[in-house]
Amino acid sequence: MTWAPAGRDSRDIEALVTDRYLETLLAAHARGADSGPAPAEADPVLRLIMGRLARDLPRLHPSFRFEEALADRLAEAAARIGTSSLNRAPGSLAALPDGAVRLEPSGQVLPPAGRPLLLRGALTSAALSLAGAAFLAWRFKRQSAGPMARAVRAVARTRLA
Amino acid sequence: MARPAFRRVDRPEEGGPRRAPLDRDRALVEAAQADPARFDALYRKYVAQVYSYAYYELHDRHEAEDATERTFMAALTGLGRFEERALPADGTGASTFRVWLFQIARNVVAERRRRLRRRPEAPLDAAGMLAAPLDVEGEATRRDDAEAALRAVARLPEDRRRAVILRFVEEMSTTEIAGVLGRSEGAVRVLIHRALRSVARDLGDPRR
Repeated sequence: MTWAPAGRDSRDIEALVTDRYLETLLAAHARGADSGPAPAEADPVLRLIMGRLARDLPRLHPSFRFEEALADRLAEAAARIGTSSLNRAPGSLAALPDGAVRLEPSGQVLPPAGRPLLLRGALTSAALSLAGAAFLAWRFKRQSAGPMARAVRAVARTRLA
Repeated sequence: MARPAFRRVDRPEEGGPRRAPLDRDRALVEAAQADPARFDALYRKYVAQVYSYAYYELHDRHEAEDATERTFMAALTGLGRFEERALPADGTGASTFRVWLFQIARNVVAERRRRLRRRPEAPLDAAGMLAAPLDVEGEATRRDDAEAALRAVARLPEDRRRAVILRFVEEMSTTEIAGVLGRSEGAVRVLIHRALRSVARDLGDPRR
């Protein structure tokens, strides 16, 4: 059975030829020329489509007003972050700029938290401590309804009487 | 069993100096890591690229501006964790910073798209994207062509559309796109090839 690898190979080769032509085309565009020398094996229909997309998909620029306003906000954020926070120790507080998204080490972006971010372990341990205190308070208030507890309470009442 | 992928790296000559990793943004990144106020140079260099990518993905100027702002804010706060990964084999034009920045932009845009999914999607407006015409008749034809091309690209499946935008609009290399999308270079080449076939089918034979 050789058809599957052969099919994959021909697909990869076609994709490689297209990529090589595209490389030439975009390099020619960067130089201000219409197109570069076309490899004979590149599909003529795809060559025309590539030329058309290179011409019709322009790079867009934001408005000058937006660009300058964001530059100002980034400068303010940079001033707040300061040099020291870039090498921050674990467990310390990092004040993020208002509305900033959070960036995970994996590159995953999280929505804005809207409050200072407590880094690593501290948040977990604080949450566990609060949960522990709440459980103990609840346990002291609540009297157990089990048979053993009832027996213990009956003995205690008898002794006190 | 899949073979582990190794990147070929030129070995340093015997006794010669080991070649340092390359990144065309290395100096700017190091300056910004030492002093966040100097992030401005990286921002100015890439703001149009990030905005452009966001606009093509979100079809709305305000959404694109918001995504651009979130991307650069996240990059600024995360810059301390950025590690340059360019290798001599990547060539002198390589920028792992640009790949990293676009990974952030991709995630920000994906999050916005999820949020906007309930709203009807506005089509890309070629009239608003092209410069004011000098040759009105010729420009009208060109605008029609551009609108047809934009619609064909917008109809592509998500991964193919992203690859096409990064290749044609941002003029990224296949290696860079592979880094942004988290795919192999071969997979990116195939994605683009298939996208071009789809666009060709959609637009009809352009020789007519």
